[in-house]
Amino acid sequence: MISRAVLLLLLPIIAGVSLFQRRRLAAVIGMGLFSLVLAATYLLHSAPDVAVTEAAIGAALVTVIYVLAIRRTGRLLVVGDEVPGLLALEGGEFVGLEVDILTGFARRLGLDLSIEIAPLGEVETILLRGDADLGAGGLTSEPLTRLHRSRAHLPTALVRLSQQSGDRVAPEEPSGFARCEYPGYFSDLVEAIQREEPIEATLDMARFLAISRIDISSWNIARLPTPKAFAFVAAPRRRDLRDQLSAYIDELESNGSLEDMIRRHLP
Amino acid sequence: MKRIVRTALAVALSLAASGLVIFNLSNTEAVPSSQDADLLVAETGAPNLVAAIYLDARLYDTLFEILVFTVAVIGVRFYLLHRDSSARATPIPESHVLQASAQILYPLTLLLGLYLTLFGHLSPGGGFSGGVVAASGLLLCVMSIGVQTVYRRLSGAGIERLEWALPMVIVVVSVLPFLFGRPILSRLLPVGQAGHVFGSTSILLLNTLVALKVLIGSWMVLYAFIRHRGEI
Repeated sequence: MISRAVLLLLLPIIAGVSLFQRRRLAAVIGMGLFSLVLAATYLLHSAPDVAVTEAAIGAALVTVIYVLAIRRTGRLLVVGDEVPGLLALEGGEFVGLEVDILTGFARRLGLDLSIEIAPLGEVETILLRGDADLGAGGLTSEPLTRLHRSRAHLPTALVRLSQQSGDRVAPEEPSGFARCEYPGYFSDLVEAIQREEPIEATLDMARFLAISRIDISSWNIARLPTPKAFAFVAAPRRRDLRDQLSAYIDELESNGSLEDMIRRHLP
Repeated sequence: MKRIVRTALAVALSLAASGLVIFNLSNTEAVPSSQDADLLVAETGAPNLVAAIYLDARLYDTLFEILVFTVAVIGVRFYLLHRDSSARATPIPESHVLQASAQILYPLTLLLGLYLTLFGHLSPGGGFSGGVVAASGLLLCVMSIGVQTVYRRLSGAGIERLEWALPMVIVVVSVLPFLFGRPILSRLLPVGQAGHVFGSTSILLLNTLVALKVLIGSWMVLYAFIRHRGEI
């Protein structure tokens, strides 16, 4: 009798708690728990057949379907290349200015942030394919395709790095989104420069600062005149996400926390 | 402030509702008289009274329950399978921990589904829950060996045609006694010794058909979700 009353009292409590969960996964697990307690209640009320069905459908199958559904929608999938200071992997964790912004943004939306490292040249393809919501990792150019560029969070400039002697007076501007800068991983680029391979790359200041820690005295360095800025890009169908992110960056700037973040990550 | 009031209201309402339920339930004990129960068990050969009722005495109700399920499956298929499949998302890779544990769990889950189905007239269980448990097993199987492999093997057996055929088979099985001069929806197969697996072959047959129907239907719903959202 007492266990029946306890289980019955537990039901509305679990239901209420899972109803007011901010994270979707927590809410779904709460619903599964509700079904399980409900099954136990049925069992104690001598309805084992209903209990078996409730456990099988409510606690197992429906929970799995919901978990599958929020695997995409419950996560903020960000794709980008590593950039020291902005988005870098250190000891298994992502750190940097963009990571901080995205973490706060994801928390505001009630989503789990999930960052995936991809070569710069592939960020656009991945976003166009719809396999990620946002592109990050020091993106400076205007996207030429259906991607949506967010409000900029940090001004920067571009630097052209090449092995050729200085016959090129006016280095050409890279055009298009992340296309002409360099296609591969940033770490590969660093290695290539260390091996002094004859490559050309256009780098933003964050990447250039990271590279200038190695010896680049034998390279030609030319600063491009146009000022640029780092921003995020949103996938074609995620214009709403772009607008929300821009508003969030606006808010960070107006309350001064963006400046703190910049000072913390890019001294 | 508004939110706190709403929360408090919701909690108070649900507590009041559950209090009402507790109060009422403690006063009622809905167990049929043992005389009626013994009579039904002897007549149907199924010690599980629930199975005896919904697959024998009130088979008519169960037919409509199957119809409801079939309509639900048709709805999911209609709205998902014929929607833009060009925007198909690429699958999210499964973690190794999940893959390894799913590999261990799926045969056990399928076996449990089989047990619930075949012993549904003897112990709690039956075609509906057995079918759903087996579908969960199939889902675990998908997690361990991949959705395309499972789909290819299943559709090789003509599973989709079976899905549409099964409700018809169930209807035919319940109408068939008419041909032998007995009323529609009466027992097709003879009743044996109560408490045996083959004690009530009619219920066993119907349980098996219902379980197959639920298993295939759930699988098709799951597959529609998986294919269109690339969730596995």
